[in-house]
Amino acid sequence: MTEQWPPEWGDPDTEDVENHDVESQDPGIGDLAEVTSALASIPMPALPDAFEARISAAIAAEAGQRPRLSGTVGESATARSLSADESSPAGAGGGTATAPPRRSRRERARRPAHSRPPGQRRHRILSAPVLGTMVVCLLFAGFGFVLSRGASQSSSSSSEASGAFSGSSDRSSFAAPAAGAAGSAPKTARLPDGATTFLVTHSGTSYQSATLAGQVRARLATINTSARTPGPSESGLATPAASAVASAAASGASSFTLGTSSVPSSALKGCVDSLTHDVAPSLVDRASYAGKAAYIIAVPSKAWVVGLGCTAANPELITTIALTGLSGNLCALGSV
Amino acid sequence: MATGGEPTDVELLRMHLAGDEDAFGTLFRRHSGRLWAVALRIVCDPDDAADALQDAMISAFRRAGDFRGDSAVTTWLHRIVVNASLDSLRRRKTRAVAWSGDPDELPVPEPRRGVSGADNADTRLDVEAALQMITPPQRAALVLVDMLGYSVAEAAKILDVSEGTVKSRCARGRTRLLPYLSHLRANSAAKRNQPVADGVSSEQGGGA
Repeated sequence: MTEQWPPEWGDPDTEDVENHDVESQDPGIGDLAEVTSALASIPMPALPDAFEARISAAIAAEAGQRPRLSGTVGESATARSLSADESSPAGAGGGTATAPPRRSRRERARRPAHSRPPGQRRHRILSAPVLGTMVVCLLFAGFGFVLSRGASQSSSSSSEASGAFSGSSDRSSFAAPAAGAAGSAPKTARLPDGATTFLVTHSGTSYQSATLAGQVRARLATINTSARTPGPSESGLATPAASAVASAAASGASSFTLGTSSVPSSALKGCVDSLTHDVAPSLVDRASYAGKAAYIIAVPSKAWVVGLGCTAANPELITTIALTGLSGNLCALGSV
Repeated sequence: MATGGEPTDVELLRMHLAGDEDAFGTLFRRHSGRLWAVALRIVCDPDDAADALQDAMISAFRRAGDFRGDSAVTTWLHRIVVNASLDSLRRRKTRAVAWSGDPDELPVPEPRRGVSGADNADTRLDVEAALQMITPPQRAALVLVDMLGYSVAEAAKILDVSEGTVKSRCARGRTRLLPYLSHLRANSAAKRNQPVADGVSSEQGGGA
């Protein structure tokens, strides 16, 4: 390791270390002991939530890509090609080909290192491969929709979308938030590559404090109704949100019957994940609450209203409300 | 998943190699605090430390098959984080402190008399600033041994050097830090000379 230090780091550490009683050099042992005490008195820093979320997301993205990389993990030869040697200092940085992109040095130089709050870190969570995968899936779904529409003119656009998505890939499956709440399905909605996903609807609804629960229930019911397609289990789209995603993907944002929709930012994904504890949301609606722009995030049993700047580190929580009894309704609807 | 208690680190690594998507994330979260402390103390910049930690975890994720079991999983993870942190510093050489290595050339900070030596925030800031004045290899050794409490033997494994080298780096690092931290000692001494109030003495504990 030492041989690879830059010259300015050089020191005679590796020279004559045998019986090198450095403790007895110039400064008194007591002085050095006080330095040790000062160092030991510094508490261990806590990993900021935003960083932890970002790194966890990077690991999850890596895990999602693993099927494609199958054979690299656990196979030393391939792994060594990613990185020269386990003990090499350069090794750790060597195998980051598909990790979320790093900042460019130029971008780093523009801003002082300590001026960036963790929450404002660059958008690394949605890495290019994940975004690319999502785009490919959406395009694939749209293509399938066009084909299925040619085959059948009678069903609604959402049901066509669902069927088309099913036909496009057997591996395409979105987990169900409602079903997940029932404990029988994976708890996250996933694209074929395993990336957690949801779409943000832009319903324009003006949610009010007094009627929030009812409005959210109605919204979920609308999504659920539109998502009820012939044989959701066959289509692989078992959830309202997932069906809404596919519906949006298939029909395009402009014709999405639940309003326009958009892909969430990494900050919003972190926000949602932190609120729902990684349970895929049934609803993420950009709307207004009490006259102010806000996101309404809901799972079958609960809803949150947060500010537009919501992140994992700073949720900007405005209010939260329990959706009592809704879970059962959704389960009932899902079983139809 | 383990049916009983929490799976061990080795079990988590095996699960990861067997295809469990969550196992490595669990392993990371289990040790994230100490790994973060190592990265942050070596790199001395939160953003760069986060980058280094992320690079290290991705590297470890991919190279899990290379883990030979010669050491603990945490030692292996720490080694990768240390290496990634030092890599980060190599890439950031422009920020390196140009210093001949002679402690006499260091501008000795004036002791901040009147400031309580027990002020943890001040002490932390002083120590963090001082740490940047020593070479990264020395810093890595001091972080592991003095700040995180690893034994010299453990630190030697993590740094992949001999125990003698770790001792040497630690001693040299402490020597170089001394001018920067002497005001803390001065404050402590001043405090000791003050009359004991409320039955509280300012007895100074010894170090290793």
